[in-house]
Amino acid sequence: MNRLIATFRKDMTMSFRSFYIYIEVIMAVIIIGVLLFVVPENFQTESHVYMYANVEAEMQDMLIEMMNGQAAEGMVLEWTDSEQALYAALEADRSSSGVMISFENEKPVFEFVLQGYESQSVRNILEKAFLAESVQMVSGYQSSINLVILDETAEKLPDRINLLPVLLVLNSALIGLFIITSYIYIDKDEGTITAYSVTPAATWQYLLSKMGMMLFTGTLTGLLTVLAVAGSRVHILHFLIFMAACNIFGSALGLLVSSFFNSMTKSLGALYVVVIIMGLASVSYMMPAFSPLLIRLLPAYPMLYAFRQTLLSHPDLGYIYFWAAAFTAAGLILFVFANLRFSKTLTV
Amino acid sequence: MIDAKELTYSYSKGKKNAIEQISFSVDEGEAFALLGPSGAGKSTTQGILTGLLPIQQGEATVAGTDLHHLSRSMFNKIGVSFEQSNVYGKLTALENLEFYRKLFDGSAIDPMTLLKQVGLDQVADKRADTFSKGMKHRLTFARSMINQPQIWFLDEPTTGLDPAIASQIKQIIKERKASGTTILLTTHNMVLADELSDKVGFIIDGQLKLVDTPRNLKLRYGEKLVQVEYKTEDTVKSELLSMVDEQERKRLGDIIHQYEIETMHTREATLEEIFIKVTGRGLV
Ligand SMILES: Nc1ncnc2c1ncn2[C@@H]1O[C@H](COP(=O)(O)OP(=O)(O)O)[C@@H](O)[C@H]1O
Ligand SMILES: [Mg+2]
Repeated sequence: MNRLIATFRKDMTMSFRSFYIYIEVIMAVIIIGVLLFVVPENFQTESHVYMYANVEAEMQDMLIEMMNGQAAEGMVLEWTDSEQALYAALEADRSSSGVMISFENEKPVFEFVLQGYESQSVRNILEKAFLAESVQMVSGYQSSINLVILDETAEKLPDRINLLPVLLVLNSALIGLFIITSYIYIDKDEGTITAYSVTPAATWQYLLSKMGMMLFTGTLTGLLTVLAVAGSRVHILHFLIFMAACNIFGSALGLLVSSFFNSMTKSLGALYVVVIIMGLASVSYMMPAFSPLLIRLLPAYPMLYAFRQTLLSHPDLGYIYFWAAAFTAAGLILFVFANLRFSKTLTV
Repeated sequence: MIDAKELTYSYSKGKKNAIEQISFSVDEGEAFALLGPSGAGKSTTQGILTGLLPIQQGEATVAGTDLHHLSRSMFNKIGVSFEQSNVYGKLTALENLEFYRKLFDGSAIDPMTLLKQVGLDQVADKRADTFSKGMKHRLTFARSMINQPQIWFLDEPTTGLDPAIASQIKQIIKERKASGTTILLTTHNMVLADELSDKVGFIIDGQLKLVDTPRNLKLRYGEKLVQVEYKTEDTVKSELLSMVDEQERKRLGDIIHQYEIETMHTREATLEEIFIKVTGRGLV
């Protein structure tokens, strides 16, 4: 234990004297800056309402013309030609809402399709807006409104905060991957890893200390980022635990990668592949409509959504802690492999 | 203290052996020098005995530990100095030693005392990445004795150092040897081996050709030589002549008759000359 502590303290001292730790900090600062000053709180100021009119063709043209002319300011009506198309559009654009119009006994029936996160007041406004129009449109109108909610548990985050998970995964898990491999290569280049090997200290102590260092700096910069951007919205305890799990996973992966190559340059290829594969998950996160199974299987996918959960007002704790445990376990397994490989690959 | 039996090691999965069937032993308090040109397999041998390279074939025991069943506690008893210096550039000289000592159980030598011994006390608080090659080497050397090892592995301890520092290092090795430390030294420097070791092993192409004390080697292989300086018309000339070779003995007689002799010494063959004789090859 003393050896581990001594090694950890040495690693921390060295990290503060190397520029890698500043990369982490600078990255965090850039992320904060971009999110706060470049990214608007919400991307879209106008909201899209997807429409589907289940009526005869002539009637439909008339409806479209009428309603387009009357759409409220900041509201864009998009017409779709089937119920399925409307649902697909709504899933692709989580900030939109939908209305289906049909006629029953000559009376229009409005069916509102909402995402689930809309507050009651938004629901009321929508209802009122369409009610008023419909009254003008058809005489003898009687209110018959059905509300369909796509996802009961959905909570919409401001776009700025919704972006946070992507950057957190990028910074802590991926940048961390690069940094821990860099530290290993510094030791390999200097040969200090060899000098360490002829002491009573074991390889696992060497590796664990490196992971501890990443855990410390990664979690700290992650916490600063999330506090600066999301403030009190974040559930700090859940966040810290999940962040730590991601760090364990990322740095163990980094250790394993660096056990296969002799230099940073040689391992860059492998690292980029890992980053790109992980990065694909962000695409699905930003565009939920594009979520092929292959992407959902990537570790970064649940990582993104679990980070997102820590920012919601009613986080799904089961989800967060399931994945925290999973990433920690996966990290430990990777660590065992890395340790086996390092114990074998040291040379004079 | 060190017992190596038929060690064979290959870096290329058996294609080419870096060392072959190396056997020797070093008793407690003894200094053993592995002597051979670059690429002979000295560092590989040391690598196996210090647990850095896995033992592939053969048997070895170091400080009572069977290397097939390496235990970390063996490292409390050994110290290793490397051919290529390897210290933390981001740490100061003192921090390097302070950290390293914490990795060992038992009592360690005070880092400042060590730095003074190798002449680095003035730069104790300077970062090692600002050091010259020689300074880094001295720090590596100092570090290797911090745990007061029973067995001390020294890979080329003076190679590449300027003569003043080299002799300082030699002096430290002599002192520790006098206090009972067992030493395995690898070098391609004959003078060093001759001066520091009780036993010498000639190694070339991965094979240990012969092991003996420097004195026995000289008695057995060394011919007596005469170094003669004589005056010709305006210059002083010098020749080294063997007293075994018939022609050279005659040549010496001629010189004594024809010229005025300035100096004349008999001298023994150096280990280097013997090495060439035994292995048919020089040491560079
Ligand atoms: N890491 C290595 N990988 C492959 N071959 C090596 C390695 N280290 C040494 N060798 C080879 O093994 C042989 C012995 O090298 P070494 O033990 O370093 O010799 P010495 O220390 O006597 O100069 C040489 O042929 C050398 O090229
Ligand atoms: Mg060597």
